[in-house]
Amino acid sequence: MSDLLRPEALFASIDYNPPKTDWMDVPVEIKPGRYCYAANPDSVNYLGLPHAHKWNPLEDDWGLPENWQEIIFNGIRERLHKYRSFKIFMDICVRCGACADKCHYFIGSGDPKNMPVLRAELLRSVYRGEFTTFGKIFGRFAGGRKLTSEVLKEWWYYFFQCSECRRCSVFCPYGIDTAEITIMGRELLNLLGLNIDWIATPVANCYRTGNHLGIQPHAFFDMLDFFCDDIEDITGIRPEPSFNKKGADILFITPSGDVFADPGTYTCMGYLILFEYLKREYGLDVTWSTYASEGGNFGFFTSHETMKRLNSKMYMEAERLGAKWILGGECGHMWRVIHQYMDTLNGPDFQAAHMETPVNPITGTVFKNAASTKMVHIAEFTADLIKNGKLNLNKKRNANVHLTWHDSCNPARGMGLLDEPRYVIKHVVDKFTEMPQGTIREQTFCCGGGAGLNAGENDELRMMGGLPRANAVKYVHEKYGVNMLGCVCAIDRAVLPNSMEYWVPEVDVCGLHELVGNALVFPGEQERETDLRGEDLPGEDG
Amino acid sequence: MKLENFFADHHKYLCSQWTEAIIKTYPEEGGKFFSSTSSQFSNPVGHTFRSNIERIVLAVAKGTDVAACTQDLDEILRIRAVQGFSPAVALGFIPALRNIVSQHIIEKCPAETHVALLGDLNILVDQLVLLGFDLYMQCRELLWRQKANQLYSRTHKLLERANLLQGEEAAE
Repeated sequence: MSDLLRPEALFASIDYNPPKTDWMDVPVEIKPGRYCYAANPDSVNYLGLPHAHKWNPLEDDWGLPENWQEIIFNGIRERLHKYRSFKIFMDICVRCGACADKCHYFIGSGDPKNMPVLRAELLRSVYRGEFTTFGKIFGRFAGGRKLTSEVLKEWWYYFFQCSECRRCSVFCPYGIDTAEITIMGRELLNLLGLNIDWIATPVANCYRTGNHLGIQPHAFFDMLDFFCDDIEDITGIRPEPSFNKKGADILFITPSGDVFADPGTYTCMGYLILFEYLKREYGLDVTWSTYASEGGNFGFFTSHETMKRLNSKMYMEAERLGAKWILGGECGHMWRVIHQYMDTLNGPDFQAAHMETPVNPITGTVFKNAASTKMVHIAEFTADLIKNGKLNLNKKRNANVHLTWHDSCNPARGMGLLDEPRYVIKHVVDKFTEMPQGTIREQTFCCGGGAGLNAGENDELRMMGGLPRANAVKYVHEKYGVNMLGCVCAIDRAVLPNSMEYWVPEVDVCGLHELVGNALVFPGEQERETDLRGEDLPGEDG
Repeated sequence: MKLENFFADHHKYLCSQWTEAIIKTYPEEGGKFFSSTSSQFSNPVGHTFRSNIERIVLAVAKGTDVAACTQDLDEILRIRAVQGFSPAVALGFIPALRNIVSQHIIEKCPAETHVALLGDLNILVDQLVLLGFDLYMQCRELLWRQKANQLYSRTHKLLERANLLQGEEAAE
């Protein structure tokens, strides 16, 4: 007993403060709550991606092939040659620090390696040390270092702590898109079979059955049928959606999260109500595909090649059905893929094979912005219908909602979809309050779970990363009484409910078309008693 | 002199020292950022630490019951509970108040007041620690409950799809 320290001596001997060392000397510590489980080798194999193997991030031996360094070097060399952006981003950063405090994961955690500049430096330092003459000669003095297994683990840990939201790129005076560096980092890791399972298995599912959740065609149909039952109970009107209809004018594709997970399901009911209304009123001919049943593209979080494979199925299905163009649902990264990668991935010939520049058959509006991609976002489509007076909307049905708007990263920064949702909101909700400047529009904060980081096991990372967004929601909740956070992204709808429950429990989450579905009035419709969630509607006076 | 008077007279010093005690638990670059005076929206962690600690110190200075500090302490611990700290490190800044205040009392107050002031300080810190422990556990329990609900919901949906639920179970 006499050897034991007294409590005050013990307390005094504990130093909770982290050591002051150069970032290159801080060894990576893989912490539970911040990392996702390793990819299931069956999923990696299914996609034919290299070096599928079983491994555990917490073990020392990651089962790497003997020539793993050579594989990475060849991978870097190939990509430097292939992607001019990658080459430029490796060379031009002056480490001004403008991006340093813009990442939601850094803002929430204080971990310096979550500063975009330092995350990029993890890869850039190896590029300097192994590929540039200056770096080879002067090594660390020139900001270079060698690729070791410790460095590889650091890559894996931090490239899967970036949600590729691109907020940092908005502030970079050189226009460096740090997400592109994460994308390259993940591609390189995939060469060694080092993906995470929350990405690899959805990608394999999507490649096999057409959606990330692996919902088979009959189950996909059943789920939508189930929603039609609910809609009939609430509105007295039963939607009759068409599936895989050859010769339909428009093919509709939305993320499968809308079909399977609350509160996205209510958004999905909103789509069904809107299409039924447009069919009855104007003869709109929209079909759903049970094969190309995923708007999202987790291939984007794996490699360019995998992204292309998943993306092309939408076009092959549109061609098979003979649709004129594709209407896309409320998704996030789907739209970044479409607007920023697809033309060079597939080529305009592939997209234009049997499709036309999208025209709204009801209003005659030509969506010239989609002339090349042939895909229109449903927020643009609905805003156009409202602008042309084609929808009968009753805002009072959303009178219990005081909304604020979360600009989902990819539609906002990746395609400039900022005002269309707000235009729709203005017509379906009375009480709307914006969050403060610096947290919305182009500078919006990520939900914390983008780019495949919404696994159960990395919940702490997501909570830290979700803090800046939740903090702004908390402000408008406390100051103005906001009780609903709207968004146009299926991952947002999956991530934000838990985030809100933790940070601002009085605020719920919804999609745009849930509010449209509530407000839309069919001719001769029975009086609704509940909204799409089955909750009592407020009275006509709110 | 009463402890609350001491807090009122020295609140600026106590706030800065106590905030620094929290900030020091982060890596240097992260700490610098949290210490910066950027806005509450661009630096929510630093802003919460600064403003909530100030409110807690002022509450003590007014002689308010420790329970009145619940929300302010909760907002700090809600952040610390998801930052990968062990429970001891997450809560360690509360007992750190004892060292900060006691040293300052010894420096600034006449020796004959030390026993009474330090006695009251011990009670205050103990109350804050116990309150903080409850709040920290509530945060962690919510995270675990979310995980459990996720698994429950997934299983429930599978059973529902397979028509293995009956009556009320199916309606849940």
